[in-house]
Amino acid sequence: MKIGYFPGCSLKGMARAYDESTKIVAEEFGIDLMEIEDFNCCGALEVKGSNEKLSYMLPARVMDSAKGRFHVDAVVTPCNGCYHSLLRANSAMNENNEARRDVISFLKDVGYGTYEGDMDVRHFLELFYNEIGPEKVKSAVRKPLKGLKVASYYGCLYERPKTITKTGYKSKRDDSENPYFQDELLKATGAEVVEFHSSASCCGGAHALQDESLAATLSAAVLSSAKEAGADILVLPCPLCGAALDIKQPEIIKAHGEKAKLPVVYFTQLIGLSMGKSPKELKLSDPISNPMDVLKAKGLA
Amino acid sequence: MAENTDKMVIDGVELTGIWKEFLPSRILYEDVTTEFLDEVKKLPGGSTIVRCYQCGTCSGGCTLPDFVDKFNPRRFIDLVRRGHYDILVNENKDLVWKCVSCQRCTHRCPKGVNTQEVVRAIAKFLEDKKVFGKLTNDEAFDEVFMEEVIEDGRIDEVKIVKDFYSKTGRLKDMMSADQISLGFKMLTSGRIKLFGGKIKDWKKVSKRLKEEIQ
Repeated sequence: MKIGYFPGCSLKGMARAYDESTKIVAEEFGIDLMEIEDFNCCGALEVKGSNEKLSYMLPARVMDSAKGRFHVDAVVTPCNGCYHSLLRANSAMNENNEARRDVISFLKDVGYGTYEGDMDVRHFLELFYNEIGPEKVKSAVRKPLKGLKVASYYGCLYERPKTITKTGYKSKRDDSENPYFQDELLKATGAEVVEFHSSASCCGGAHALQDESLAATLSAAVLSSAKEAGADILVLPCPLCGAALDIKQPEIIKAHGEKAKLPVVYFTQLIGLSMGKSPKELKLSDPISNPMDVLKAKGLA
Repeated sequence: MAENTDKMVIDGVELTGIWKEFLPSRILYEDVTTEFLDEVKKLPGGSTIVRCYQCGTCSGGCTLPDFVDKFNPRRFIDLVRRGHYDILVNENKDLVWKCVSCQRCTHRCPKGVNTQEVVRAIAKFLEDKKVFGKLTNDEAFDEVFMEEVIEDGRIDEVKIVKDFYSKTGRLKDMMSADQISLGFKMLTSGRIKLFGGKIKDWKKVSKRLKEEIQ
């Protein structure tokens, strides 16, 4: 299976640690990722709320290029937001004739014009769980993450809404109310996954700039509930949650206190670490929330 | 068997077949105007509002009521459908836009209402009616985002934050000591790049997208 890799804007910017660790982990397990060069922004929430047609056209151009230029069978993205946008464009192309006609005419004008809404869109976490899985991770571990207590956090758009993710209809998707793919993968690295009730709660990141105090309150609720559950570190599969919970953490602590102070990393960084990759190549010094201290204290970095 | 079929009472419940006597209708006898409903329906994401049957599943699972008092998507939808514009504006205008798009409502809706997008459409409806008296943060962010996507094809995080703060007149917040030290750390570690990636042949796409939003 040829897989197109759509990193999205965040991974080419502040979330480069997620981009690089994803590529390292993929390569280690023999997943061949072909980056969709000259990709554009998926449009995110802002285009979706501003112009319906554009919100289908932008993701469709990415998939048109994946199909027409790179000839891939599936597109994988590590970003919850991009995942949502791509799947949403596909739903529209398959369920709404007017949207389909508009998008196809747009693609014929500016792209390859071969795309019809049929791309298999995968989240990297879901793909990694299904194609590699905890058993293979377990046997590839060289440096078990023994003694590290992790809170496994998923965010929103990875499993919701079912109208778009088709959760429950396609067995490959994670459980939408109680996602567990990341938990299982982390357990396979030797880490201890704590019982954590906010794993699919919202970090408020969508309003991190527009409504700062509410976003900080939501983020603080996630971070503090992970800390109360005994976690040393919070692990996630989304660069937007990463921005809200990590980059914004100094502001969150200022407003809500030390109970919201917790290192935040991407799941690919921890899987890479357990495979014996160096903290430097996994960019474990990138997070503002400083995971290196706790990893050093546990003798893992 | 009761002989008089006009009245049949079993366990204190009247079962004459006039169903509305024991299942009170949710539709109040009032003048209903669909004027506002028709407007919301036409906004991006607003079309599924007509499917709502007021079960309240959206509000039951909503992230916000724990943090924002009286935030209630079921009520926003009801007010639009019944044409209660005044209540929507007076009591709810500062609530509607606070939705954080967690999608629990859309995910769980048994009637296929795209609740998150409907709530955003209601917020946009209020923005279009100029009830806020100024450019809201949401509008400002959406505008700079749209401009940047159409112009460059990708989002540059630093540029969009700067443009947003500038548009909302808060550039000095961005220049606080904390923000500057954060920016410096990101810049020296290479997480901020001053020259983002360019997309080949984007000009043509950009031109076409501009025609689209005319």
